[in-house]
Amino acid sequence: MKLIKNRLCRIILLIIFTFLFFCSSKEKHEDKVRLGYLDNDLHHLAAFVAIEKGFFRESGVDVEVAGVFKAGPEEMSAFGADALDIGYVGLAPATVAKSNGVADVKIVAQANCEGSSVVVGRDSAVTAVSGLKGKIIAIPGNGTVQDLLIHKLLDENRILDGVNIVVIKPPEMAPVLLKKEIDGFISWEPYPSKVENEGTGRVLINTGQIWENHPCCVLVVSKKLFMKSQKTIGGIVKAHIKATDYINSHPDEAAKIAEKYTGMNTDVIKSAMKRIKFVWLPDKKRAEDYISFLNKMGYIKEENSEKFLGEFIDESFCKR
Amino acid sequence: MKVSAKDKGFKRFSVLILIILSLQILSSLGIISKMSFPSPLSVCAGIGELILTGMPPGYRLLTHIEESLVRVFLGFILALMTGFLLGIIMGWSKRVSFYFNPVLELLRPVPPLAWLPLSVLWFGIGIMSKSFLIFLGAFFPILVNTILGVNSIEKSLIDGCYSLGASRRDIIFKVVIPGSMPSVLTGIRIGMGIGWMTLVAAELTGVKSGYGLGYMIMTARDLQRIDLVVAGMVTIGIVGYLLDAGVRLVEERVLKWRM
Amino acid sequence: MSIFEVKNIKKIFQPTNNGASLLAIENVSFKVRAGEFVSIMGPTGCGKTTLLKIISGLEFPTEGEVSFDGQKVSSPKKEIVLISQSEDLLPWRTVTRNIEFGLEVRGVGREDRRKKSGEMIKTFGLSGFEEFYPKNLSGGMRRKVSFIRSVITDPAVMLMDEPFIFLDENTKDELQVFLQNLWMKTGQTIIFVTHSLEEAIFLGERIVVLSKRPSRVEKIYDVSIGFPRDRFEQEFMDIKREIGRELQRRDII
Repeated sequence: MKLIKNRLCRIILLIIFTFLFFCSSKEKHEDKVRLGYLDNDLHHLAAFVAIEKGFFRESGVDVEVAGVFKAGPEEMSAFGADALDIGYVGLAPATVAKSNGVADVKIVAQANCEGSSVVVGRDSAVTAVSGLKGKIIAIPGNGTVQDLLIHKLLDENRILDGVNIVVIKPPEMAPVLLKKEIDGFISWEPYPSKVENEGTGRVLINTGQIWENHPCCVLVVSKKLFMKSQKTIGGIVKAHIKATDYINSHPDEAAKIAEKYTGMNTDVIKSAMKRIKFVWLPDKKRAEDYISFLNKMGYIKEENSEKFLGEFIDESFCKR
Repeated sequence: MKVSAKDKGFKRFSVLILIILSLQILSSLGIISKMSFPSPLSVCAGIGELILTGMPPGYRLLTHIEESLVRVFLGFILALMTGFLLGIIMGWSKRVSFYFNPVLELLRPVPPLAWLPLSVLWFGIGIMSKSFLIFLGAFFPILVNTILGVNSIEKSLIDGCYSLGASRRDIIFKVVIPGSMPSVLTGIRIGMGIGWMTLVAAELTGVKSGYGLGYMIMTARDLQRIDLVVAGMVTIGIVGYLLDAGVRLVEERVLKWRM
Repeated sequence: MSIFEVKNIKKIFQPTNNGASLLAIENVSFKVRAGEFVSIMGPTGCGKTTLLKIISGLEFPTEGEVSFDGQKVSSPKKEIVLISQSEDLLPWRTVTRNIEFGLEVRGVGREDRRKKSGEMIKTFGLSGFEEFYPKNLSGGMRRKVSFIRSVITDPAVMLMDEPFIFLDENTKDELQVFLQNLWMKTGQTIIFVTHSLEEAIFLGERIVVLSKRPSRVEKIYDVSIGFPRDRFEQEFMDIKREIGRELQRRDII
């Protein structure tokens, strides 16, 4: 009998400790704002600049980097798990996450337009988009901006059925292209510029040529933070606008910061930045086009896009 | 506790059904939020959607299952051939075992997933890079259990057969191999199980054909369809269960002398 | 005419880690005629099993030699079959296929094998058990199958190392009768090791008695009762008492 009691006690203690452990690991940094962005995504340069130049601090916001991700959908999962408060992420993954009810976020500013490219191997015989028929093209993930754009491109050229689209994480795209396992990929800068710089591939077409001024990355905030402090949101957007303006007025200094955060060399960064348009005002009209495409691709089921966008995008903080 | 033939019907699933029912009730009452865990009903609907529409849309469940099975079988067959052969040799020859053991013991603790970058580098993103990881997962259980099986054969059995005039070749084919079967089949069951589990990890980076259960789940996650993620998990569980049942059937046949 | 000669066998076991070497057998010699049933009897631990292994060629003597048909025995031979104490049937084979094993490794064709094994099974009363697996047979039955599978290859000599040691009393008696019957029918040369005096007398034409370790040949007795033997008959019991008393005096039992 004593033995059973003893063992029972130990089991109960074990359960209690496990419970306490889990409780403590959920402790939040109440005052810090948790930021997420993508690994090596030059579209998120405003975030790097705002941190480096202290713009967030100037606006009275204490920001800490809580997550660096390999692709947009992963970052949105983190929002869903309440691990992030604000983040730089692609419009497409943000829309998919919001529409499918996984992450309740609001877009408070835009980060950039264009800035991605379709790349083919250096020895590739493909010179025009039509040449992609029957080939294998890699995208960073389903439901990303690049996924949407490649579909748009191939659909308009009527070769969508004939192309094999594969998901590969961006850092692995170049090695796989070099091995000729894929014929091309579409990814965000600075990967296309890097591949060109190293001579392992060349740009076939920029996304700006596929769809002019298409929105790409946005600045989102969790609904939770939004409801908590409008003042904080205001400060964040202010810092973002300041950083964006800085990039456009001081490109060389911004390039140095980019080198630090991505680890890529000056030539690659300079070339990449040329292909990105850094803006801050959300493009509601084109966001509607996003919703049509995502609906068409079967990724979301949003019937009333106007109502959805009204809730999703809040431009009220965007003023100088 | 004796389980009669009649019991083999539904009784064994009673606890499972109870759990599913409770989950559904808790979910319908809102106690479990739909965001943390999809209700069993929505998972069923998810399976239906995977069969009819597919994930990503246009890539249907049955083809995903087929592709995954092909990859697993390829890796598994390779593991069986090499693991069994090496196992018999190592079980039989103390000398071979002496020299090979350090190499194998060093490789064994490394999880198949850790080989992923190398596998992609060597084999690209076709079927071989996936089957290679599955091969690694299934190889060690089969090898270890085969060696065990050979070593577990009573010496008196072998001596008796030598005495009856058996040659060394006779002993290997008529005594060692049949005698090691119980352990070998255990190794096969475990190896098949681990191989199937390795599948999801193996399909995480680039699947050329666009089909595969692991890849399907990753896509569902990218598109924030947690109900489909769980539906995919359930599918993986069911197929894995059926594979194991298949091996057990073979086991019963081959080992009927043990009943 | 002797078919088997055991000459001055001596066996010393070298120690593996520490301690002195072990002198198991000091000096054993005897001869065996063709078709003879010889019992070797001795107290437990006297080296009977070792002696049998040396005779069968599974072990080397330190001194002395064993010759079979004029040739020195240094490795297991097809003509010398050894049946040990432990279970030796292959568990994954049926009774029939176990019996056929020796024929299989000699390249005998399937039909011939079936015929021969079928005959043996019928002759020795195992009909009905052809498709049984060893697991479903009693200990006594398994021993019977062991004997049959050894005898079916028609060996020149059968060596038996206390084959009934793990069976209960009744089964032992039954198996002794079975073995005697088998020997009478087939005329094999059999060397049978046991620690039981009664068993040695019941089965053997001659008994080689070994001393305690290190073993020597204490005495060789002739047992001239006719076959088949009856252990409750007066003649049998007289011989048993006679030999038994003498061995008691010599401190063998």
